[in-house]
Amino acid sequence: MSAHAIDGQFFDIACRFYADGSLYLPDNRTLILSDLHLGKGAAQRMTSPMPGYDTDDTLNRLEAAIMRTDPSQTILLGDSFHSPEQAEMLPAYHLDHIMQIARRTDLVWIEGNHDPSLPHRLPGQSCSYLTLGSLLLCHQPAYQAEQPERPVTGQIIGHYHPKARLQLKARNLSAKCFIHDHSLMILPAFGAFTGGLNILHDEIQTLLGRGQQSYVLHQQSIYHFPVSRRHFRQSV
Amino acid sequence: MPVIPTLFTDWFQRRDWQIYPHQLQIISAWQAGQSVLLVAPTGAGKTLCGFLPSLIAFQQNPVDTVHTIYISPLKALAVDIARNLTDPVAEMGLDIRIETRTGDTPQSKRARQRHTPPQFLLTTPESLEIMLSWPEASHMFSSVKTIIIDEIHALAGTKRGDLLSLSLAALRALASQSQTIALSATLAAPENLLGWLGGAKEMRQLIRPPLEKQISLEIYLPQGDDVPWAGHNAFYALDVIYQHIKDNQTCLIFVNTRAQAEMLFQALWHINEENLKIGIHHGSLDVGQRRKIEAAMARGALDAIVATSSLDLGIDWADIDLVIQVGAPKGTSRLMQRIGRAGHRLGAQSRAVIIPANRFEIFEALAAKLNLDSAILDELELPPGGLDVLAQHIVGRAVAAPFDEDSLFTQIRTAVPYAGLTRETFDKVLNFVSTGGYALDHYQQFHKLVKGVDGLWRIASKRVATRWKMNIGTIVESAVMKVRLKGGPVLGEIEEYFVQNLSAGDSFIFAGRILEFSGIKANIVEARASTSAEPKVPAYAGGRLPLSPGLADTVRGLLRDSSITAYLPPSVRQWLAIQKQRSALPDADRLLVETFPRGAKQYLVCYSFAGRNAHQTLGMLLTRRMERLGFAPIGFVATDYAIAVWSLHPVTSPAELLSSYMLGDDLEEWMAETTMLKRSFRQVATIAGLIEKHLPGHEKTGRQMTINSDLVYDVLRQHQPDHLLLEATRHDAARGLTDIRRLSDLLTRFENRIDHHNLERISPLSIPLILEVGKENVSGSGVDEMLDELQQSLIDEAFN
Repeated sequence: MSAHAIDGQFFDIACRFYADGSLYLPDNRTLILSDLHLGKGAAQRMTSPMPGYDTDDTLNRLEAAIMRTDPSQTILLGDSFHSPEQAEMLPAYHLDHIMQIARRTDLVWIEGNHDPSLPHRLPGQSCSYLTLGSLLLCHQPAYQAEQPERPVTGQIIGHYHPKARLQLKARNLSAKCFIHDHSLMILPAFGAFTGGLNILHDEIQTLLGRGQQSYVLHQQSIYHFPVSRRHFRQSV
Repeated sequence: MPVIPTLFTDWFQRRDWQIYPHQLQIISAWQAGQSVLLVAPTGAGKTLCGFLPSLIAFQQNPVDTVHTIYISPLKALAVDIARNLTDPVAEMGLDIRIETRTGDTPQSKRARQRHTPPQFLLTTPESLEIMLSWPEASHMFSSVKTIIIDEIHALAGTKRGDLLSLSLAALRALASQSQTIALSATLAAPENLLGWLGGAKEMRQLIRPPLEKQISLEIYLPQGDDVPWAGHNAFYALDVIYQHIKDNQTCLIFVNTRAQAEMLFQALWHINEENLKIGIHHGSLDVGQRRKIEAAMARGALDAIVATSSLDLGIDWADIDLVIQVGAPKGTSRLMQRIGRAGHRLGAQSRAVIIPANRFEIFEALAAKLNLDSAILDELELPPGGLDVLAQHIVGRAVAAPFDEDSLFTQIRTAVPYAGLTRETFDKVLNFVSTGGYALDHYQQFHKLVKGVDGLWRIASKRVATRWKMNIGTIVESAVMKVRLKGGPVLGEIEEYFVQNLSAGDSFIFAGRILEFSGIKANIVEARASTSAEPKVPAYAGGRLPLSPGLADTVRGLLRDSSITAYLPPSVRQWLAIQKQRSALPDADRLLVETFPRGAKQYLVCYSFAGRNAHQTLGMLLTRRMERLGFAPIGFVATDYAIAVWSLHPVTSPAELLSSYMLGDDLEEWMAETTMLKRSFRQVATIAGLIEKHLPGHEKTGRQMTINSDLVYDVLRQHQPDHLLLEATRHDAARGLTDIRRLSDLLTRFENRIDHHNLERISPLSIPLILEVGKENVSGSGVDEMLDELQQSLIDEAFN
């Protein structure tokens, strides 16, 4: 049966994958989300009358995810803002909303390539990476490059906006997804105006080894599939 | 009698030309200060008609700025007219600067035209709109005496027509002394177009010469058993087409889409043993290539040319002696227009042959011939103007000069499609273009237009003007990429989504050749000549023509008409006979519905003959209702004749499903969820300037194009469902994709008159439909179920 959430394991840690693209670690009471891209609509507004409602939308869904799991801390895995300017120019109304959310949970803002510096007025703490037991949480797998061998820690990252293209019985379906192997997990983008990169793309595949698992989001439900060339399709 | 100077009458005599009565009529009307709508078939000397009064007036009172503006829907037509006008003008010794200005005009010439404008200016609606935004516009256009609108039937009722009507309103405000001459092909109720002439009612005249061209129309009926089930290529009749090319001097071969043009061209060259000169012409080809082909055709250097609607309109090529229509003609007026290209001179007989490409098309061709013989023409639909086009135009007005909103509103209401525009709606559009028009707006940094202390609206920055010029126009094709032969010339443009499905080494047909895809470099598709004989099919979306309403009904009647069916090819007769035996033939008074399983899908086919637009709507409604009833629909396909819906579970009682109260059901809601609405939204958002088509300096492809319009649509719908662009999208859907009234008539008519045949397998009549491309997916519980199933099967696989 289709479900709103699926329980799974990653790096020997219990995980709950939600259909909205958030990840909950019950043992740590930690909620993790990535790539909110707040202000992405507004960023286009220097030249076109793009609506700013994407930010309302994303924040509403963030709040709902927090209400549902009641986490002690919520980690935003980078690219929370579409640009440093958008982070600085965030309207008071949205900042108020974030303040409200911060009353329910401790927010941790991890820096991403779109938001290398985060404004001081944000509630919670900000940092470039975070460790959680044996897990390393950061935006991109950048720390890997500085180490000669793959770290013994598990990593949870964002950045790539993974998307799967599935071959179903009577048609194809393209949808956001989680993907992980035994030690690296990539979260889907949570922002309302975010697109995606096919998980079979080289950029993602070079990061991952054998035994890849995916959790595919479709409307209100989430589905678990081992990644295989038989059911997954490449797209340009 | 009109005044015609001897310079002209002498020239007519030298040329041994007889001036037609309707040409005299137009000159009289013009000289009496009237505007004229001339409705005549092609070959009636229409274009010369338009220019004659103007040439005479210019000779008597020359001016140094623009005297006559000629507007054509096609760039090629403007170029061709310029060519055809230059000779007589030179021969008469008139000193007139005649120049074209289109999107293809080189930058240097454009710059020159700004300070030395031509006296006779030949242009397109988009270029006119741009010229009207120039600071020089008021000087340039103040002395315009004549506005000639060619092929007005091809513009009125479309978004390009909306744009043109707005440009004309602005132009007439500058050119207060101008009169209009509009030229139209024959169509039903032409008086509906009189408003386009502008000016006072009593100063408008409709001239309709009783010129009946002789038409000889043949329909090719194959007698073998090789009539295809589906498809639109008619390859089975390739030899017949080739024989026609051999037997005639010059053939013009019309197909309905660019893909068909490419395939047919390729196939003809494959059997071209006698090396006949066969060319190809369609809108995706590079301009240079198109011009070359047009020139070769004008010289009479070609034996045949395969063309799409890019050559529908009146380019004057002397000696075409046969028009071949491959595939169904889709509309009586269109067919007449195309046939008119043969013997393109008044009095000459037009010869044409229709080659039906599949079984249904035989009936459609027959129906078109019947309608043509009894002169049943298609009527133009003239819906109110699009709000997205209005938004674009309002920015254009501010680019031209600061404007006062009250006087602009008054001016806009003089444009026919906007005659019913309310002030409230106008204000909403103005609000959208100035700030985005969002109810709850926390981001104030956006301004396209600002209102000064003088009360006038102006552009907020120079960049607004640049962007507006780059994005002008109403034709939003799916994103395209240039195709270049490796180390060679650019061949033309191809839809990006097609490129996305290519891998290096794949072959495809383009510009009349088989190419091999090498890769993408700097946004240009690189390809090399391929040695492959079996190319991938070219998949252009552009150019699908919907069947006109009248024709579909005639087709239904023909299926049961034994006086007709007796003449059909044996294989077609047999097809109908087996259909009758296994299921039934469609009836004029009852609605035939079939259900049958096939593979993993359960099909429901409804032969409603209401045209593709109405069927699309029906498809959306049906799948939505099936979703609610738990049938788990997956997709549907709509043709002009019927609709097929497939689901995971079989429908047992279609009568219930098809009851007319279906239309009362949350119309709004189902419309909002369809992919079609998202496509509409993308178009509206692009035209209205929310999404950019081109960016100055670097053109982006559709994939890189800022934010996916589907995402914007979803978010906007949730947060501000009454936003202007959503309103415009629904309006468009009602105008183009859906046909609610026709559908409700249909459902009411067949209430309690449904013949349901539950079959064990696919019915003969449904085969063409099931083979049709262009299927719509629905995203509902059907998809969920399939995901569940796949998930389960993988789990089973893993644990067993």
